[in-house]
Amino acid sequence: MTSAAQFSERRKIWRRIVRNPLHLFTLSMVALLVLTALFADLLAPYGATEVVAYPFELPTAQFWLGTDSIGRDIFSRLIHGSRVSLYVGFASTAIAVVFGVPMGVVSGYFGKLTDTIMMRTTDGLLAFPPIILAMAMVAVLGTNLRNTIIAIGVVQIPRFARLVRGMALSLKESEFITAGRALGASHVYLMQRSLLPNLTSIILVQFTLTFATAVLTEAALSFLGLGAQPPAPSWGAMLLAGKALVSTNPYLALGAGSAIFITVLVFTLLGDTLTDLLNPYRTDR
Amino acid sequence: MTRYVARRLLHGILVMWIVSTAVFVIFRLVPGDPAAMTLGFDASPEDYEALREELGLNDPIHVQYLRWMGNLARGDFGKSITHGYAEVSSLVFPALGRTLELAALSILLAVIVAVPLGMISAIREGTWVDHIARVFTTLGFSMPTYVMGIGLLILLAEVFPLLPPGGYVPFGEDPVKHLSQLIMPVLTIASVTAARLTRFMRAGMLEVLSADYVRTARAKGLTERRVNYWHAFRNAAIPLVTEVGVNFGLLVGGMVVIEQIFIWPGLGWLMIQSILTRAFDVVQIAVLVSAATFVIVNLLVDLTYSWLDPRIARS
Repeated sequence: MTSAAQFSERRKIWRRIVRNPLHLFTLSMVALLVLTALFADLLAPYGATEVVAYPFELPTAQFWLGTDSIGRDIFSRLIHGSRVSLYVGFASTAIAVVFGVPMGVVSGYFGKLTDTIMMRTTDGLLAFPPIILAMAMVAVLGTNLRNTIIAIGVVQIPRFARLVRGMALSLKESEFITAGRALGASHVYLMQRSLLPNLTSIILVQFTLTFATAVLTEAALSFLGLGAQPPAPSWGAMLLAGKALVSTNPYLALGAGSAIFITVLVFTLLGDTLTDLLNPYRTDR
Repeated sequence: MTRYVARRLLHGILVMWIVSTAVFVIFRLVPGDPAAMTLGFDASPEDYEALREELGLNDPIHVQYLRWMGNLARGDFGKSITHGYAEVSSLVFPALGRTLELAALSILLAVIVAVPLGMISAIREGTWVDHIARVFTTLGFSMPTYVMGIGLLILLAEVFPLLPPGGYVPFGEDPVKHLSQLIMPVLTIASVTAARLTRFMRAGMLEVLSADYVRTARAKGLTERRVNYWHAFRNAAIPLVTEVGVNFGLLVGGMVVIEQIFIWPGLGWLMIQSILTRAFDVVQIAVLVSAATFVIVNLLVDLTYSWLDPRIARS
């Protein structure tokens, strides 16, 4: 691709963003979340595990959402929690991509026995309800954040493999692959240089959706006591603590619940936005 | 058709074999063996060795695997050492029953809401009814069930104390209490499921409404009502069977958090309790049973679907 074509492609995407208020909203929310996570230390008035007041304080000008059962500032912990959520979301989705994508490409490209074995294996893994498989793995590996990331990532591997395999299967019949073979290109070269670049946009969309699921699963596991361990500021763990505290200060449960809800909503919307922006067949008026 | 049924059955059995192998692998080949996990860190070496022998962990791995598969094939789920040697099946299956009760009622309620809502939303595309339905489905899609559950709990048990905040009494003991305990978990799961089903129903209905045979039905002068509810609905509803089935299967596993919130002693609740008390002999069977339920439900759905739409089996 020439640099001029690249330039016009980029301008086209930019124009699509500016013209659609929903895309603008989604992308600014994503930026806001990411910046919050990156600069949590600067943004939060207090530290994540810092005891700053008496327990069970109701919201005041100083403690916007009050304090929890050991006197930590709820608002600050929510901000620090974004870091845990986005970190787990990113790391576990990365695991799923790093293992799932090559599996899918190889499976779809070679077909035959390789494909049969890989697809039957994913059939078996997909038969587990996602959270149950993650729970089983965490139970066995031990409950900490690293194992939570591994468990959530592994659960998503077959989903990536499936998606990529389907795309690779249809792409490998394309003329450019046949031409590549005729020119004497190796299988590895063709998979890397010809198949993969054509899959990037679909992988990117799946990445954001998986990211949302991962955030959701981490919060669920932490809520069940199987994810991040106290005193780590995980939204799921805060929701659990908030449940017990509902009658004294409902803002802990409401705050943590809203944080999870908004993050998942934003990343689901990001999936839609990316689908729209990266669609090469869409014509702009 | 017979060939199709046979093929689907065979595939189901194959998946079950992979699933039980996966459970075996997860619970045997990981660092730290079941004996150590059951006893914890402070066990004496003698106790540890005795338990290993009792569990057959000193046998070669392929002997253990064959014994595991053999026991499963005979429906023998073993006894739980951590539950006073109770049959694991006597713990798991009553819990599964309570989970199925919750899942079935939630799905039923979700279908009752979603089918008319999705249909009206499609027929009145672009009107305010449609907009409200779409806001509801988008929110429902991103609303985690547990956040919804906690929200309901705050609203209906704390702010307006109308319902018990959870718990379980068997129907035979106190039917009224049993039903009152069901309301919140069912509402929680149903509302989130209804959002998914409404979106699915709307999309299916929109597609069908633009089909040729619907135009033909209109052209030959059938009433709008007859076209919508007779011709279009029947065809849009068939794919819904699959969607309902998939949701049902996922619910059986995914209700862990809901059961924990409302203290409903179902399969997910049992699993959490067993993980926390290190009863891994129960956990592995619970994991297996929840996956098996999903496989069986999917199988039934596929068979129902091919019965409703015979074209599937023929292709």
